[in-house]
Amino acid sequence: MFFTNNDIIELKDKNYIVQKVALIENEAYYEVQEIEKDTNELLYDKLIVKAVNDNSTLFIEEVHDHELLENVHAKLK
Amino acid sequence: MENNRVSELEVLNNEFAEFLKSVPLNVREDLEFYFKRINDRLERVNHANIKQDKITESYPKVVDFSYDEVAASLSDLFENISSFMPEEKRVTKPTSIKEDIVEEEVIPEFITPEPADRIIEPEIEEEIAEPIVEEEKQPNVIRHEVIGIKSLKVNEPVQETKTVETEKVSEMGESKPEIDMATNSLDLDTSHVDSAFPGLSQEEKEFGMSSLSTPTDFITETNFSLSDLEDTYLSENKEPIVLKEAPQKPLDSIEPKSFEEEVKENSEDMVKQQIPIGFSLSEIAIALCGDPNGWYDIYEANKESFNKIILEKNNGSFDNIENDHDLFSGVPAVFPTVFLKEVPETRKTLT
Repeated sequence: MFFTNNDIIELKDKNYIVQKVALIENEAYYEVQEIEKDTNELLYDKLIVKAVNDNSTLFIEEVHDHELLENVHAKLK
Repeated sequence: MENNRVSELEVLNNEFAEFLKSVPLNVREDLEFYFKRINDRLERVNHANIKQDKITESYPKVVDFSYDEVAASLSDLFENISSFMPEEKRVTKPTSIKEDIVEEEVIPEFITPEPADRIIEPEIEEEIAEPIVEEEKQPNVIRHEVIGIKSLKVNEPVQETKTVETEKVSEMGESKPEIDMATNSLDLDTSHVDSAFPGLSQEEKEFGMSSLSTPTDFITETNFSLSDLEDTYLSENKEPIVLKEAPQKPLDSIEPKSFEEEVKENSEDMVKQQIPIGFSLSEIAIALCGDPNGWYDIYEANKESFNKIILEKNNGSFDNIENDHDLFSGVPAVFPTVFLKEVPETRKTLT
């Protein structure tokens, strides 16, 4: 697992805060919510993402598969 | 040869006629019908052969006729005809079946036009370039590169905005004197004030000096102006006021308090909470202090209200009240933070 609850993920133009985590088939899925970079105010954009390590670079990948999203929502804590 | 053939035909005809006489009528009619048809066919073939002979006599090269040669020789004719005709009725060139006849375009050396129909094939490079490996992107996957990760403190609220602390500077231009926390006094030099105000107490003097922004509040009998005090206070040579720490007592001199005194002090930190439904006092005591005997401390803290309940619901009896799940359910109570866990052996009944 790369992130835990209340971790702030910094991207180039956005920041996300990790709110919940779910483990499905040895893969961690995170429910993240966008926050403002300067003030850390919560915004409305919520996502389900997973972490991917590609050539020693960490990425977060958005998940849009409906079946997988249902499973993830059922297991989020 | 022809005469023999003719005589053979006549013989065959005579024999056929005699055969027909012996045949029944319906059969005869059918045979005559077919005979007539065959004769007609033969006559037509003879007639066609005669015609062919006549054509070959007049046009001996017709036997060597080939369509491709005619098409090639008449190609100009076709073009000329089509040029006068409208586009709708223009006839295309007759395509030759054989592809041997191909007119090569004569291109002068100084002009190298590229025909439209010619397909330009790319030059094959000797060195094989490395294949470009593109990231396999699924249609529903979007990736973001992570620059950094921060951990948020649990107590730190996310929605509140951060405030920048700035140094507060007083109107006088110097930092305000910090108050001594132990004595709650400003610790100012009041010696020069004693001569002007001999009857004032130390606190009054300090208070007066601290509120110099309102000089008109001071009422004096003598001809005294506060500007004199201000000048001395605002002098550059004056040292800044340093906070004095409270005098620390040595550890030997600290007298330990009795347990009861501590309980009394800590008993002020009571937690008001409604007793959850379905829980007994001993279960709550286990949750709070780990010992079921702590129920008596809870009872002691809520003696008055609990005694009323015991009188009403339990007929004043203290038997097993700590394990009763319904007796005190939902009752607002105060929970202590320090537990003595001493339960008296004898329990009196309430009357």
